[in-house]
Amino acid sequence: MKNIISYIVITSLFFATACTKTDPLSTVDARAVVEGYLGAGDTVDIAITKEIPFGSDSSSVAEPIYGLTVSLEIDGKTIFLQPRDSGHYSANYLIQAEKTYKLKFVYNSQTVTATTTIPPRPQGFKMSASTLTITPINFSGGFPGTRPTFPDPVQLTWTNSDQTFYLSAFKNLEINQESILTGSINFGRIRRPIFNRPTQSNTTSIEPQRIQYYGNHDVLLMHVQSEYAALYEDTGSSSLNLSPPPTNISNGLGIFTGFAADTLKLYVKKP
Amino acid sequence: MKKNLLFLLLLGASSTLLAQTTIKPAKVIQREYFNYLSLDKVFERLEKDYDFTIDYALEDVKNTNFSYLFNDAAPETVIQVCLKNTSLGYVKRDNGSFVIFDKSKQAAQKKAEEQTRYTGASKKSNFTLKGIIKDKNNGETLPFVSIVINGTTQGANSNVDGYFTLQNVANDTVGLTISYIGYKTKNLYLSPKLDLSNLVIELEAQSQQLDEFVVSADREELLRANEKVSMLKLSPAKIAALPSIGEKDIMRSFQLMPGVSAANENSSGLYVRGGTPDQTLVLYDGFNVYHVEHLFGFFSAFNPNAVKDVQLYKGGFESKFGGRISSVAEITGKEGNSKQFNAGVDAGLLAANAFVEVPVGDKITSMFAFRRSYQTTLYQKIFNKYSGTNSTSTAQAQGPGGGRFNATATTPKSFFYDLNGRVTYKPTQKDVISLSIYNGTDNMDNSRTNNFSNFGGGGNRGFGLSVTDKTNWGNLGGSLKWSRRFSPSFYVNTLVSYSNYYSTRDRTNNISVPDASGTNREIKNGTLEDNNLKDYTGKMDFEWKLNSKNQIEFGVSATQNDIKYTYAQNDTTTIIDRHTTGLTATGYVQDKVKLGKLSFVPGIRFDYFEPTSKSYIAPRFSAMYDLTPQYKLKMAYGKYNQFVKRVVREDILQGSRDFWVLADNDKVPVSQSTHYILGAAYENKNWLFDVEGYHKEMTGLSEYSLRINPSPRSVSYNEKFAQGGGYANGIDFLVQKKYGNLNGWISYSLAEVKYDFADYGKAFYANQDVRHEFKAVAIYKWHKWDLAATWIFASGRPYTAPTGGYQLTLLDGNTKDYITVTDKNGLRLPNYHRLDIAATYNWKNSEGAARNISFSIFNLYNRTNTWYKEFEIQSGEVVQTSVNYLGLTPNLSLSWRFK
Repeated sequence: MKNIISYIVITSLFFATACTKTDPLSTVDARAVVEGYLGAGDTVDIAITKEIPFGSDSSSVAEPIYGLTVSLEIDGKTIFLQPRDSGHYSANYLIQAEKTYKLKFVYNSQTVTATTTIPPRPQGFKMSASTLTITPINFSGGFPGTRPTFPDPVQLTWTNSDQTFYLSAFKNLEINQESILTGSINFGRIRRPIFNRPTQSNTTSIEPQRIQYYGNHDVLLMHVQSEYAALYEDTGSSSLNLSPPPTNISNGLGIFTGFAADTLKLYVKKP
Repeated sequence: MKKNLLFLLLLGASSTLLAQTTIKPAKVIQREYFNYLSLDKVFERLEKDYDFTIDYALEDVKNTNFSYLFNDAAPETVIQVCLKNTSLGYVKRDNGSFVIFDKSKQAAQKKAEEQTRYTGASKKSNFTLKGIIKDKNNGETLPFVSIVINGTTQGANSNVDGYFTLQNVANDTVGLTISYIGYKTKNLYLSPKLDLSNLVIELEAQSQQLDEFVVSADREELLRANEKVSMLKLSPAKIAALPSIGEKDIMRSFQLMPGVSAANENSSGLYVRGGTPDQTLVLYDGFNVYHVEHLFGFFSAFNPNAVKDVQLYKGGFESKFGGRISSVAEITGKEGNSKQFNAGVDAGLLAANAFVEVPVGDKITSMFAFRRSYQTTLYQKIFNKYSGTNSTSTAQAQGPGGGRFNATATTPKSFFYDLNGRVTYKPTQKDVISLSIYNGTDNMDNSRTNNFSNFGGGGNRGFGLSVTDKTNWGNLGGSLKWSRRFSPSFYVNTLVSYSNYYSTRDRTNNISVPDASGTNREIKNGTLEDNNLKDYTGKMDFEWKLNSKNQIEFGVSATQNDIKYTYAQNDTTTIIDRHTTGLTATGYVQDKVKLGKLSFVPGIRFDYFEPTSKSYIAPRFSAMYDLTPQYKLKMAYGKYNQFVKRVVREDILQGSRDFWVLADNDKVPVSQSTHYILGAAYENKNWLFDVEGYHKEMTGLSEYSLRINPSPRSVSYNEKFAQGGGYANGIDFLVQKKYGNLNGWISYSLAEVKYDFADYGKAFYANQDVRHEFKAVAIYKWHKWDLAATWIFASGRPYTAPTGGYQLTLLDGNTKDYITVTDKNGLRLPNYHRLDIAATYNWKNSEGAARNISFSIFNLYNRTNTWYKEFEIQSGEVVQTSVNYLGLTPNLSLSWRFK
């Protein structure tokens, strides 16, 4: 009987002590979010905003951070950026390809830093066609009775022997844009200007059915860094797969990266 | 002794009952007058006032009235007087208790004779007893049955083919106690009249309807937990009484036991003591089964009608098992009725299940079982919940520019089936040859065509779309085994087996696009996945009973694995193409030593793994010490290695959820673990109190992420294996009321599982970490009814939550949302709890064939349990939505046996 009683006592004690609390979370103040793209040959413009806290009822626009002392270091020299509207900081300094830049500022008593190297400009950028002919598609009477035909995709090629990352994009340059698709069909998120993600290949294509407007277009090929390519990683959206977002900012969030672009022209016309 | 003991669910209250179950010697009656009382009342008084222990069936004694004046009467004399002039007989057991039976009932008579000690002189001493244990009704041999010589600690277990050998038996009149889960415990006295070199012992299954001659110790038993260190055993025949959702499920029944987590409602997998399901070795008739689940993991793929015996080693397992670092589930299939043809059918709201058992002559038995699901409302409810169908059905139908059309609504066609077959041939009394085959498969077809016919006759370009979405996964396996008993002390088991796990998914869009010249270009976009694992194994296991104190077991085996995994973007571009092969050569030796109260098993296992060109030596040791016949101390230690791993994809809404890979020297290390187990148990006739603490260290763990980055016209993947280690600590408590009309158990587990992966920074709680888990199972037998209830409480599992979010404008002008997160698995989901109930009505037809109808309710109080949370940024706010497990779900099932 003694043994049984001691068994029960030990068991009960165990139950009582078992209800310990789990480790508290490390709490973090809202961090600075950097959006800094340094394009070779461009001037410097960096946006710094605050992370939106979970459960926040703030407006949809991220809150800018004002009053920071933001510096850019290159080759041992320091350039101080001038504050502008909406948390932007800029300098009339032209970014040079293949140089390394370091961003630095202090926020919430923590030094936020990030470093990037501007990649070389793309080499050997070519396009398989500089003009495309696309028949207009009219949805005003519902779906057209005949299937439209499209030209072959435009092939973009460039030199990429070291398999670094490139991003292609194109942009309509017309002031008065004339749409290829007309009528009242709602295509949801159709009007996205750009549709590629960074590739380590040396070729990609522009599918004609993704072009929305007639007229002149810039076709850009941007040589980007791997820290930029990482931005496209899917970091999950549920508690089963959520992982920290990719960032190259120390003590902060966002992106600070260099790129170098080359541009070709594409003209889209009616038959 | 009144048999309907109250089952007190509270832990503390059980101590008084414990004290009552000790058998005291009956007292001499000095002077007592019984005046025309029915015999049951007389027995009650004898038990109450004179410490008699009498087992009897009420209907046998209640109609006999008795009057007598006892004067200085010894206990046995009292019983003799009571039974004089009746049709009743009695047996006095070694412990002084009496068993009363009706002599007119043959079964009772035979049983009583077996329980009676042979009164003549013994003719043999210090001899070796050999025999086989069988089911009395169908002749099925029974594995792992415990045979103990009464009054000693000497005993043995039958092997997988039912054979046993007991050496150094004192004489040929000793008593034996033979016990096996799901069967009535048998007390048998040897006699020189019996064939002691080939003793056939028949055990009787515990019937659903208790009829004549009920001995309280023979009542229902669903769980047995105290035979070996960290080993649980359940009776497949008994799980029908438990509440189920659609199907009787062996693995889900294990989840009700201590140390096996029930916190993952969506998975019937075995999360044993902080391990994951792929760390459990699942052996079915000796071969490895890799796919053990149906319907996205909700059901286990083993048909209970085809299973004879299941043992789960939660840790510290013997050297003869290897290749997994957490636990072992050893499943033995039925051989089939050797006495007569039998068949049966079960039907529920989810699947139909049929089996046949056909004996061919005296030497061949066969059994085939087949189960297939049908698409009922219940099936669809579970399917939709766990397939994510609702979320994905419209996602693939992309309009131009990545916009989405609503797809034509289609209901996915989906089903699972499993097939078990076994043919056993016993050419001689020494040989058993058996062929066992298993195939379990899930098929899903979610294909659909969306034609906007007035737009050019079914063409595409986003205006009309033909989507193929077919998933097929399962396991095909078989083993051919030859067992031979060369001598009573030497037994050899030779087995060749093949197991093939397959998982294919074809989720593609077929597009036909006319180009400028009017020629159609066929484009196949999407994903094609194919994981194919082949396991070719040959092994020999030897059992050598050196003497009554030592049983040496040793063996060799070789497994060739061939694993392919391809992930293709379309029919011409393969993104991942992994093909690994490897040989694992193994040898082991262990000695089961029994020295009086101490029994221990030292062993060592040696593996040579070809892909790493390394040898792995794994010493193991387990021991049990009987402090008294009731109190037991136990411990185990062992090292374990795992060479084949299942990688679980984190994104449940995309593609197959898992695939198998072979360890290599590079990205996927060999997993290793060390187990330390310490425990104690108190067990008497009716109760078991068991506690085991463990510490498990793990290295070479892998986590996998395949980042899918969909963008129009292309899909890219980044494959990443993270490596790390971790530990699991815990303590499991079990209080079981083993017998009686009300029986069941309470279990509590306190556990902690922590991982440390360099990629994730600081250590974090593993996904399967559940701090507290409490389970109560009660089964009450009332006339022809089995009433059962199970309640599960599990503290919340960890998850990674958002702390905030931000949006970036990318270089191309698009914006993208980013969610910042807490420390990995830094928060806990709400506690999980659930009550299930079931009522089963059992009856037999005039020929004794069993039938039952069962009604159960899953999640009776409709608790909203959280499965996971989804997050998105809406209007600058991070919004979370909880995705929940199943609510209240009723189920009905029928079971019908031919014989």
